[in-house]
Amino acid sequence: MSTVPSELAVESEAKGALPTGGAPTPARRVIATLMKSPAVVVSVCIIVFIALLAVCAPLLAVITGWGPYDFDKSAIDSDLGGIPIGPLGGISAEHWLGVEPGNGRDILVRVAYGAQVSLTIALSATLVTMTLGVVLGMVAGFFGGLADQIISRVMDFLMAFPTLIFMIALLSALPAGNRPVLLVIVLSIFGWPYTARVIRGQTMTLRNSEFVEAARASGARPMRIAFREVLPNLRGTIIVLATLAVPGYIGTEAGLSFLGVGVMPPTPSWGQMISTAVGWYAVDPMFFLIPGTFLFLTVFSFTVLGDHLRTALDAGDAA
Amino acid sequence: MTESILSAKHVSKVFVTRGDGAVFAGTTRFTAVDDVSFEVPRGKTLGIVGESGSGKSTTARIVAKLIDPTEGTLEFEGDDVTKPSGRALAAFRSNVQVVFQDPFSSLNPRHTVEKIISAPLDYQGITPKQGKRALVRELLERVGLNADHAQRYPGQFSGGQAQRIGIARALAVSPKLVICDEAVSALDVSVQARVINLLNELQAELGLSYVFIAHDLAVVRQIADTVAVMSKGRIVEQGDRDAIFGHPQHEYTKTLLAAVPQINPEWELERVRMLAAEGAVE
Repeated sequence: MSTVPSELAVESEAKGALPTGGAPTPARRVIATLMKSPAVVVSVCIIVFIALLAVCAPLLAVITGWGPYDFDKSAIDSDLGGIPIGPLGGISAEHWLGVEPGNGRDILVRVAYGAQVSLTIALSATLVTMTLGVVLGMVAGFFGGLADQIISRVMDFLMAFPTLIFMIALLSALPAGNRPVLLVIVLSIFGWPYTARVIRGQTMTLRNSEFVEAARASGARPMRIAFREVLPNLRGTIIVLATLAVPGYIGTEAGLSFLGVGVMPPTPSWGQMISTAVGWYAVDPMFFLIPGTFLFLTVFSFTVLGDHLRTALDAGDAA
Repeated sequence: MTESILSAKHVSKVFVTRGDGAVFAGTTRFTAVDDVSFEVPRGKTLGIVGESGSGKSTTARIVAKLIDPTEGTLEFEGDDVTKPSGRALAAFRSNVQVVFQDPFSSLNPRHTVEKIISAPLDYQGITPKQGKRALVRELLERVGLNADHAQRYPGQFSGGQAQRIGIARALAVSPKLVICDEAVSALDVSVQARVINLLNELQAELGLSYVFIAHDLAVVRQIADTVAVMSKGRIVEQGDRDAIFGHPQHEYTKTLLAAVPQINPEWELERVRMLAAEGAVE
């Protein structure tokens, strides 16, 4: 047919027409978008600060000269029932964020050690739930059939459970043992279905896409399709889910510690400090405010970051 | 009569669906492909045309071994490949590759071009003697793309370029037969012509055989040597390209040809006659 154009035309279409310099990679584009938002920059700064606080907790103890379990009888007024001496809960050059009423332990050092405990538990629980949720969600969504039936019913069962009541009952009944590990296990058991449900849905969509069909036609086995073709397309979702899971677990851990079934004293934890502060709020509100502020800022920053990440990644998919 | 590389004999495909998920709803049977037989001559192109829902894509998926036929047999180079398993299927996959309709959705958006093109090699455990990277560069140049773009992502290419990547992927395992399922339908007319040109060149250079599925008669006319016309799951007419386009025998083929706006005055006259006849009936 004479409508077939010349070789020259083929060349121009094939080799030209790309934007010069090349488009940035997806990851770089998302980071660039995020960095334009002041809320994200502030959130990231807060998260980095809290993380540094947690990592440097022992260093902080050396600098201030107070360990997390050291009592300072000189910082509290035992005649008045142990309220801190000085303004704002005993803030001084010696104790930068004041001391705990009753025993005079340094709040800054205890908040730093508390951050260590909270972040370790939250990040471990996130890692475990993400792994379980992604693997089981992908198996359910990709293979369907009996595997999907079993996994979905277990997810329904766990999600319909009165989680908090069960966690309290379970943690009260269990021997003291290693509390942080127990917390991670309990949080993970009830947490993974929320990840798995989303991953399952996305996998079901991706399973029917043409590039999966293309991989099958290329001779790929199901497991390789799942991990090589489907998993990379879940990356954005996994990042967002993980970022939003962390504040959830920090909050739940604080709640359980507040209720007395989480991290056991004397190990410091934010929820536990807030719980102790309840008895003192009339005479020493700073003891409540300081750990409360740290908890709030951490949860809030992770949530803001997660929300912005989701928006940025969604925009990328639509483009 | 030329030797055929692939032949399908009395192939049917029935889809069984459960009605609306209701507990006591019965099953619905839908015959997508009904007793279809054809042959693909070696080194030539069989074009399959038909409108949406005519069963041509199901036929393509059967031939590509993405779904099994309900009835009938398939032979590739004389071996029965109706329901191959294990080694036989692996051998079939290295001989028969597919180019899909939508160039973007058939390329994994999270993989680089290099990873996409070398995927069939990885999946089949083939190590090319010149090395994977060198082979990818060769293939990119062969399909008319810049070999330096191997590290880019599919989203950074135009539709025509993306389809060339799909063609390069199909060529990676040196197949003998390539199934093009509406391979140019999603492209602009001018880009379509260039991709068809490329397919014709590759056929001449590599001695490939094609099964070319399309709804567009003009496209099939440019590439096919033999043509099969499908309607409602059946092949209503098949034969040499010029015979089909020049002297269509079946009413459906005539209607299809008449529905295409023509630039050839003779065809135009025929079209007017057809339309007039239709109008007279109504």
